[in-house]
Amino acid sequence: MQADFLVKPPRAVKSAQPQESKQEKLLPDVAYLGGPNCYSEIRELDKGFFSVRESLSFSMKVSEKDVAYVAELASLELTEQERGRMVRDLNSILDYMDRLNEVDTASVEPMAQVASGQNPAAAARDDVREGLRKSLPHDLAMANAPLTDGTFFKVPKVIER
Amino acid sequence: MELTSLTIESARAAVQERRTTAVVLVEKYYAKIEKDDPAIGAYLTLCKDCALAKAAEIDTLAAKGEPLPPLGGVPVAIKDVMVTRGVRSTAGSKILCSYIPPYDCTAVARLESAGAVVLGKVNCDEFAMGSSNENSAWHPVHNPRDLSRVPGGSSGGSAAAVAADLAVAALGSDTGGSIRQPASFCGVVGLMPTYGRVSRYGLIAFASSLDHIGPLTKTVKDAAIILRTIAGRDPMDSTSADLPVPDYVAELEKPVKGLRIGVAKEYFAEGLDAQVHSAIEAAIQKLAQLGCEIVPISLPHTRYAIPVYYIIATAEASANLARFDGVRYGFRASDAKTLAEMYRRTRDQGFGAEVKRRIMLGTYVLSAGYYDAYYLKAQKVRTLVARDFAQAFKQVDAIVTPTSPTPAFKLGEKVDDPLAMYLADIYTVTADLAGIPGISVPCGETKEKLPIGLQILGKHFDEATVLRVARAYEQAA
Repeated sequence: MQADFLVKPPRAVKSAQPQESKQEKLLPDVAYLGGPNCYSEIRELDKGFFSVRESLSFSMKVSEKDVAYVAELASLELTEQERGRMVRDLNSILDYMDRLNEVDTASVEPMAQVASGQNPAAAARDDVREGLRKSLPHDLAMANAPLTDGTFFKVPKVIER
Repeated sequence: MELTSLTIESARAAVQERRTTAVVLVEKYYAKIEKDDPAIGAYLTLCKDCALAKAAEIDTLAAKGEPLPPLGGVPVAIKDVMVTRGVRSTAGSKILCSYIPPYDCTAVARLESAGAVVLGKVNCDEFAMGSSNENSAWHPVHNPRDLSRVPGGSSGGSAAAVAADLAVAALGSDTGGSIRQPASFCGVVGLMPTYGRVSRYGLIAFASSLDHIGPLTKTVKDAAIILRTIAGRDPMDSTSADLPVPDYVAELEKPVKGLRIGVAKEYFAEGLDAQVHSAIEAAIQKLAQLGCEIVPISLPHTRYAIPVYYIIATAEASANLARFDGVRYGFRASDAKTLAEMYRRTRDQGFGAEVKRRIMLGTYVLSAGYYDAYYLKAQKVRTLVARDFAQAFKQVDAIVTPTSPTPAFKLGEKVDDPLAMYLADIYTVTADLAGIPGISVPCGETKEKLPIGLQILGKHFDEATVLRVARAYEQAA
């Protein structure tokens, strides 16, 4: 059944001007964290939890080369501008993640299963218990494909490197 | 019939008693959507034909004098991350701009079996990644209570639709706070059930160990009605709990006198907006007046929740979003000469900036050499976060906190700073990490008339207590 896809943007409403942080610097620095207002907020929230971190300089954990490598793993073809932005963002985020090193987890088990008191993994799969379920009819399964030959999905050829 | 006064019960009653018809109700909502939604941006897709057909079916039952199912004739909205058969579902992303699912999300199917009428799909942050609904590939959502501000995210469309009476209720999803935080920003009720309470089948996956489906409604009772309808084991989701579903509505009115309510100091530290702080303090006083015992507790690993969350969620997302490659559905980049190029260009062009950032972060923390330092470490600290709650729940029956450190911020205020945006989730992510249920209920407003939300957290599968406390507060406030 057809549906109306609303793509109309809302009537223009005055919204706050975005922070003037169109910094083109590739190396993050102390003021990076969103400009004056956001920065002090983060510091406030941080203070709230425990002592303020002494050193605020970022280590360059992630270089442009790392970003290129990770992008390849993730099958993402980033533009030049995106790569630069990504280096900055990843570094600032990963730096914040460093606080996990404060925690002693030597004798802690990783939490692999969330479900408490149950063991869904131990339950026999329904298709094992009940027999194979009918799968989607072929035509329905192909209905959303960008390109097919009627039987298979068609994609550009794989070129051996 | 005033749309602002409708709850699930009153809408159903009106249709049952023939004071109106389901078709008229649906038409009224569409008229309101046409008039008010251009300024808000809550809806992405309307399914008028389906809705009117479904409403007509309900009217036939009512005309025969037959008892309507529990949500008979009630107009609802569904967050676009949940698939709806035959109705375009985009997850807020361009990469699914043309995707028409061949199957229904279980939670949606259950609502429809209970008579609900789906008006359409509502807007959200792309792949549920965001805290402000500014990451939607289509357009941002504006908070109906103050159009210059965000509705919260990622279920911003769901919260805004309910707050603006563009639906009686909505389904949203919560991975780091995405039901509760927008509920608090828009002044509505938002419930995140225990992990596994509601099937995730048909929820386009973001982070499989953190995703939850839950209702956004005007009242706590409506949330209980929806939970009772959508909860329960689903053979299509092996993580759905094989536990009986209590009658959450029947349990709602039980008195709260004698319940022990925990207040964790870590949630009331610096950085919490002063007006939010006083509103929550007043709410705690109210609960004490109702006979609850207020117990100070500590959840010492709270300060690690954000880094743990963003490592685990992005890692899981990088795996879950690998399927979007232009082969079988959705957007495909047109200029690729090889398969690998097609994958890379489709994904780079189809995904928005925040999604790409999270995929990159997730891929990095899972990559060889970093897995132990980040992902494994985060999983261990997650155990400690969950343990904090387990310990606390030995002394208390529920925990009360602010839902968000601030009320709704202005559109554009945090878009350039991903980390500042992440910190908006500081009070909600812990529940997702521990898998416990949580609700946000309206708790007053600031001087600028912005809604404030009170969050109530409970033990695994103890939504009954969470709802009871929420209901008692709602009645007394």
